[in-house]
Amino acid sequence: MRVQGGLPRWWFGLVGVTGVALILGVLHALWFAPTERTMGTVQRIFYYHVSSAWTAFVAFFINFLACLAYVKTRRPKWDAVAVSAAEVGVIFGTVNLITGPIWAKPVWGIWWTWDARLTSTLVMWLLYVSYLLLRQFAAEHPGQRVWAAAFGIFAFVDVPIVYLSIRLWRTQHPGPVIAGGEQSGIDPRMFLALHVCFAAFLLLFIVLFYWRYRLEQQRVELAELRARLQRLHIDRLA
Amino acid sequence: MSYWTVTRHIVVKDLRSEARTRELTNAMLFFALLVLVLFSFSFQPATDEERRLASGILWIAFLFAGVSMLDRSFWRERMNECLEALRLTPASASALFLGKCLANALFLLLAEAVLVPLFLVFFDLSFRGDVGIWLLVLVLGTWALVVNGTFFAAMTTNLRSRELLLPLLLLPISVPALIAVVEATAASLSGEGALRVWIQVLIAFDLIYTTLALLLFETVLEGT
Amino acid sequence: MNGTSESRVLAFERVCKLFSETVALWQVSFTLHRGELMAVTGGNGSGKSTLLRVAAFLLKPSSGTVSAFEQVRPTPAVKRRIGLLGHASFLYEDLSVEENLRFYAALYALGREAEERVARVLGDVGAEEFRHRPVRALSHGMRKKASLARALLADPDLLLLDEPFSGLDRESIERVRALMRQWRERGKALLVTTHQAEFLEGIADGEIVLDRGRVVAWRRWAEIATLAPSPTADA
Repeated sequence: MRVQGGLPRWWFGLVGVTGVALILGVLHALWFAPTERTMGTVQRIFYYHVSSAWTAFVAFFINFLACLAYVKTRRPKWDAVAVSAAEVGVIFGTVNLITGPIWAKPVWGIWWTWDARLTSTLVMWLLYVSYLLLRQFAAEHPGQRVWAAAFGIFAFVDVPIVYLSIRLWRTQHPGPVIAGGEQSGIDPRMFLALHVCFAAFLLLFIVLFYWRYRLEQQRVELAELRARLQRLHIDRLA
Repeated sequence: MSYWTVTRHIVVKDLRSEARTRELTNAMLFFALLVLVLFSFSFQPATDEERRLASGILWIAFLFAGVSMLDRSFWRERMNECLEALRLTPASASALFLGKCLANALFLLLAEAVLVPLFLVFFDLSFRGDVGIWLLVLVLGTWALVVNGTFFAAMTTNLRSRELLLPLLLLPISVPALIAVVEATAASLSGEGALRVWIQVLIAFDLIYTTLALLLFETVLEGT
Repeated sequence: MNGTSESRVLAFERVCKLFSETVALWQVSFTLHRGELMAVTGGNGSGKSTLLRVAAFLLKPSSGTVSAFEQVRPTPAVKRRIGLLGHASFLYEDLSVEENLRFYAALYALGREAEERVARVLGDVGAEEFRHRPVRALSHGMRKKASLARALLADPDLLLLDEPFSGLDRESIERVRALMRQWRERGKALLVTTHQAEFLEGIADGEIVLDRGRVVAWRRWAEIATLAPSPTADA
C-alpha cells in the first residue's frame, strides 16, 4: 500500500513564487499603472476583475477537458481533476462577480446591468455551482462521477450559447478594449499590470488546484483503505 | 428498424399509462394554471415591455409544470425498478431516451394546448404576429426544455433530493432557450421585433443538446 | 467435471463489489456451465442479490472480471441471452401483464415471434388467467409469476433467479421446480438464490454459500460424491 503524506516539494516552491507574483501584481495594479483619466482610481480593480474572469474561464475549460477524459477512460484521476478545477474556478468566478459591481457602481452609476458579458459570467458561475451541487447531492452514489462528467460537458457547451443569446438580447458593456493591444489606446503600463495580475492569478490557480487535487486523491485512497480495513475485520470474525 | 420500434413502444407505453391514470397531465395543468391565475391578478399587460413580462410568466409556468411532469414520468420507471429492466434489454439506450423524450414532449404540449388559450384570456392578449410561426416556437421551446429535462431526470431519479436537484440542473442550462422563447413569444404577441433570429437560436440549441444527450445517455444510464 | 470452455456460461474471477465503504462481494470466483443449476445460499446481507446483479451486468464489479458466454462486455447479443428475475417485479403498474410482456418483447426485438413467446411464457408460469389484469391489481404471488414470465421472455440461456419461490403457494412452487428441471435438461444454466434450499433438493447440481460477501463454500454434489468428503467450510 502506498501511503503518501503531504504535497511535493515543487508545490511549496510554487507557493513562494505565487506569493511574489501576487505582490508584484499589487504593486503594478496600485502603483505602476497610471490612473485612468475618466474612471479614476476605482478603475484599478479592473486588473483583478478581468484576471479572475480569465482564470475562471481557464479553470472551466480544464473541467470540460477532464469531464471528456473521464467519460472516455473512467479513470478516477480525471474526475479528481474535474472537481478540483470546478471548485477553484467557482472561487475565481466569485471574485469576478464581486469586483464587477464595485467597479460598475461608481462608473456606470448602477451595481448591476444585464449586459452580455456580465450576465453570461453569472450564468456560467451558476452552471458550475449546479455542477458542484450535483456532486454533493449524488455523493456516495455509484453514478456520481459519470453524471457530474456529463453535466460538466453540458455546462461548458452552454457557455458560448448563453453568451450569444444574451448578446443578441442586449449589449451595453464597454467594447473589448483589451484585445486590440496598443492600438486601442491603452497605456502599455496598464497592459503590463493586467498581464502581471493574470499571471499571478494563474499561478494561484495552479497552487490551489493541485492542493485540492491531492485532497481528492487522498479521499479516494482513504475510502479504499477503509474498505480493506473493514474486510480485514470481517475476516478476523469469520 | 428495431431502433424506431423501441422508440415507438416506449412512447406507446407512456401514453397508455397516462391515458389510464392522467397523473402527469392533471398535476401539470393544475400547477401551471395556478401560476397563470396568480400572476394575472398582479397586472394586465398594455405595453410591449409588459407583454414581454407576460410571455416570461407563461414560460416560467411551462418550465415548472415540465419539471414536475418529468419527475413523475421517471417515477413510473423507478417504481418496480423498471429502469433497471430496460438496461437489461438489448435495446439501445439512445432509442429508450428518444422514446421518453417524445412522450414527455407530447405531454407538455398537451398541457400547453390547454394553457395557452387560458393565458390569452387571463392576460387579455392576442397574437398580432403569425400564429403558425409561434406554434413552431412553442414546439422548439418545449423540446429544448424536455430534451435536457429528460436527460437530467433520468440521472437524478434514484437520488433522494431529485425534486430539488432537477430544477437546479435544468434552469441554468436552459437560460439561452428561455431567453429565445420569451423574446419570440413577445415578438409574436406584439407583431413586431426579430423572430427569425430567436428561432435560429432555438434550432441550434435543440440540435446541440439532442445530439449530446443521445451520445451520452448510455454512459449516464450505467450509473443509475 | 464438464470444464470445457465452450460449455462455460458464466465465470466470476476474484470479483469484488464495494458500495462506498461497505463490502458487498469479496474475491468471489466460480464458474457455471451449460445445463447446470447452482443454488446461491447465505443469510440476509450475504451478497446474494448483488451477486446476481453483477452477473446480469447491472452492476460493475469494483475489481475482478465477470464474463458471460466468454464475453466481458454486455453486448446486445449477450444481454439477449441473460434473463433476470429480481427482487422488484420490473413491471409497469398501470399496464396489464400482457401489455408489459409485449412491451418487453419489442425491447428484446422478438419481432414476429413476440406473439408466440408471450403466449408461451404466460402458459409456462401459469399466468394466463390474469393476463389482462393491470399489475397494480395483482397479488404478491401473481406478480412473482408475471415477473418470472418477463425474465423468460427472450428464452435466455442463462437464468438468474432471485428468490423465485418466495410468495408462491405449494402448487406454484412445484410448477417452478418442474420448469427448472426442464430448463436444466435443455442445457440452460441457472443461478438461483433462495432461503429455502429444500426446494432445490434434487434439482441443484451444487451450491455457492456466501457469508458477508465471501464465498465460504462452492461445491458440486457430483464432486463431493466422488471425492473423499472433507469437513465442510460451512460458517
